[in-house]
Amino acid sequence: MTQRQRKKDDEILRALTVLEDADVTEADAAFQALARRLPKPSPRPGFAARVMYAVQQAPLPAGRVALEARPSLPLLVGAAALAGVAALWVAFLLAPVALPIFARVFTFAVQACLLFIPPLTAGLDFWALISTIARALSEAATSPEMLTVLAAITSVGALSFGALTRLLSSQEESPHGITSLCI
Amino acid sequence: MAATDPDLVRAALGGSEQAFRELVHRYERPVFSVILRVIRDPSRAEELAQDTFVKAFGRLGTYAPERKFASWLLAIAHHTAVDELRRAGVRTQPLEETPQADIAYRDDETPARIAERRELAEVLEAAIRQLRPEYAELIALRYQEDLSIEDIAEVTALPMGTIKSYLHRARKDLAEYMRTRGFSN
Repeated sequence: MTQRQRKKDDEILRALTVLEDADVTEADAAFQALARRLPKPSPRPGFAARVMYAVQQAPLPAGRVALEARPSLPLLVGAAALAGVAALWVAFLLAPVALPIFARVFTFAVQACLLFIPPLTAGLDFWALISTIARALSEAATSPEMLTVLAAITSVGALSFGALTRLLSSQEESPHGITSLCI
Repeated sequence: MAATDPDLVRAALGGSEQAFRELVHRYERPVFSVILRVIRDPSRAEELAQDTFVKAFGRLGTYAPERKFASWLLAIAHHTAVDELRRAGVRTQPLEETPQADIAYRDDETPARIAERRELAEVLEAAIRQLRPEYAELIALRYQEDLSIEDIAEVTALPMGTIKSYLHRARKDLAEYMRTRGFSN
């Protein structure tokens, strides 16, 4: 084995020739070429996850902020989309109630427009016109159907706002604890 | 564009788990590789690599952005490995096999050429395993991790002259070992 000659490429021959040379630069370059052939050892799969777990279990140095998983942009966009879909779904469910209300409001609007004509032509004063409009609107707004729709919209809006506020607030630094939310 | 190491350190100091995880991903292989050259026991090397990252997280506030993060981290890995050697009090046995070995080949290589390259890699790997741990570590830092002599001096706290001398002796030992295995010119 000791004297067995092998066919080698120029790179290996050169490396073996200069490996012991005092010329550090050439020996360095030659060994660099040889080292590229070496295996690259890596830890077992899941090493990073084990490190992160160990880091989170270790005592936190004084004055340091604990590591915290934060929601990513795609997650925030997803949450906003979910809130939008929920709002549309509620609107769809309320459509049987909302459509008659819309028709009623539209009728009131038309009636109001019609009411404009006689006062204007008769020279009715401005305040009489305003009071007529206000009466029409208040009548529409105080109907049970309209109140139901307003309450539903307010509830959906509050729930969506609450959800987004909670997600956004988790992006701020928290000096206590580590959330289990993983990205 | 990928975040720089100092950016990731800043984010990790601010509590970003993703940032520190990214640093672990970037340096898990070099840290493990350097420790393995000293310790030569893959299981223990992995435990020590994990300890290195835990220590690094604890000391993250001491990292100065003008320094190379790789040098700073590998210095922790070096001291962790050396402490383990001192604690164990004996030199660990050379590895018979390197875990998760991955040798890169070109697409245009013939099977004979691949076999030749594999054989050379195996002999070279065996030759490095015969070196003293401190030589093997310097070989890994210089030729596998491409660190400069200055960076290695920062990592190991050895004078540059000593590093050059150790590397020269290591190369000489490697050449001698390879000759005994038939790799002569």
